Amino acid sequence: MDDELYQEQILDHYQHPRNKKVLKDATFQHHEHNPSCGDDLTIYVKIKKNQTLQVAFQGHGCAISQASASLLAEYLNNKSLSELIILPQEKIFQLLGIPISNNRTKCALLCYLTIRQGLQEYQHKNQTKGEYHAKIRNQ
Amino acid sequence: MSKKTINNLRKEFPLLKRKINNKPLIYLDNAATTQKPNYVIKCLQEYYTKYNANVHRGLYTLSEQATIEYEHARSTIAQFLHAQPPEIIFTSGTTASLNMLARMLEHTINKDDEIVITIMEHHSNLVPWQELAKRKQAKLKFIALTKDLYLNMEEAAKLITTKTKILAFAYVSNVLGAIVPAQELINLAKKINPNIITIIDAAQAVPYFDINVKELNCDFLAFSGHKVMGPTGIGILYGKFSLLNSLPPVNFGGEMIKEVTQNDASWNELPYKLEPGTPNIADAIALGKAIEYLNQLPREKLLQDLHKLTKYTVEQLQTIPHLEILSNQYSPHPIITFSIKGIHPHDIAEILNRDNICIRAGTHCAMPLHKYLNIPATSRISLYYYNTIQEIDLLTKSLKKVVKIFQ
Repeated sequence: MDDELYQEQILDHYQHPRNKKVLKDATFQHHEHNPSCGDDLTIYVKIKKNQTLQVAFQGHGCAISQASASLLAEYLNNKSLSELIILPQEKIFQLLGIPISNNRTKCALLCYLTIRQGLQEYQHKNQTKGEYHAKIRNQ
Repeated sequence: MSKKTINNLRKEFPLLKRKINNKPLIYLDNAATTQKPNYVIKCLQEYYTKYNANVHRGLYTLSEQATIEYEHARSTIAQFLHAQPPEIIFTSGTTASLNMLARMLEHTINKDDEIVITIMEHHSNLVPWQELAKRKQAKLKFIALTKDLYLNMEEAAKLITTKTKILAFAYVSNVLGAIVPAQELINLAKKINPNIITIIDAAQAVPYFDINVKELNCDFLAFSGHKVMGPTGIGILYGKFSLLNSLPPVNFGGEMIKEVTQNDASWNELPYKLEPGTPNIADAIALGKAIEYLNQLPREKLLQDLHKLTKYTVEQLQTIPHLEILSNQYSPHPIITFSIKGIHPHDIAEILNRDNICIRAGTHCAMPLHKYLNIPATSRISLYYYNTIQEIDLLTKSLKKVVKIFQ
């Protein structure tokens, strides 16, 4: 197949997504969607006792948006919270491993936007409680 | 229509000759915008190179010529709709027409009044009424569809009441291709409430069939130039003279006034009262040319062929595994909406684009309709007079490739 975008890895993650489930005991979760195209995503993040992460997602949409979410969840599992905090946007493109055209960037980055928003809300909530800094110090 | 006739027609649209990566372009997104014939393109060039000047005010030859051509375009469009020239207002498009109208009608709406639209509306014929209803604490009601995706006329008869001040609807759905029996619906509405204001969004109808505002007996009608081979940024609001004359303007400035003092202003006559500022002269003239071009085409024959091509497209699409046609399969209107199980419309559109096939994917500015049908997004093919059987065959081949990639 001459089609670089729809290479095996993307299709594999789209058709057989990893970590596609609801985390009932998630520390935080966030939902985002692209209303114009119908991509929809909820990301669940659980911060375990040892400060490592469990990441899962639910959603529907195009191959790029769903494969990105699957790749991101797989990448972040068992990483530390601080690694999520410093996660750069470019990581998504790196995980996809293929050039993404301008009009598909929104699809690719939906998972990044979702997890960043969720993280920010979580940080904000904890900052107000004064717990967040303590957590970071303990890391 | 012979193959030769279609080929001759295609020659008049320079963009259709374009090749990308050495492959021909297959343009199947005509409900979004149509391609432009040389007749329209040349007219824009001529305006800017020969008689670019402001209209209605210059006392020199250029301005006079620009004014004559601008008003000639208005007359052409008036004749096309079976209206009078002062009833034709140039706007920037359907969206601008409907927004302006919602503002003009605002003072006629009171608390608990009703505005009735349909569940098939494009956002441009939904949000202006939704906002108006919010501002005036009025009620926005939606006519739903029958099982085979036509407008439910029985429900319409129940939804429209003596409290319904406005009925606004798309003549043709931009997603389903369903044609609304406009005249019947207007008659029904006027029987229930003789004072109801009826508004037609004709954006998807004007490119395809004859519109007679007298026969339809609609109060207002809006359409966009670019969907009927004209330029972008120009459109029409038709209104019955008596209504346009009595309703207040909502945009103010030069040309629309008769007299201005420090404390007050009085309005110019129609249509100028509703066209403040320097109008979009070049594109208005070019829209007139687009309508002239449309008028000289053998439209009846072309439309028959287009209906045949639509039927052929539906038959071809039905050979593709897991493809489901969502628009009405028996409607002759050349808008076909479909989905393929397990493949998102964006992925379909992107893979088709590798073969230079242009289709639309998403919610087509009709989110409530998609929600109503319980589908997140769809793919849409929309044909125009210049599309061919060969293009549909290439589309089918390409769609089979899409299915294979995702197998």
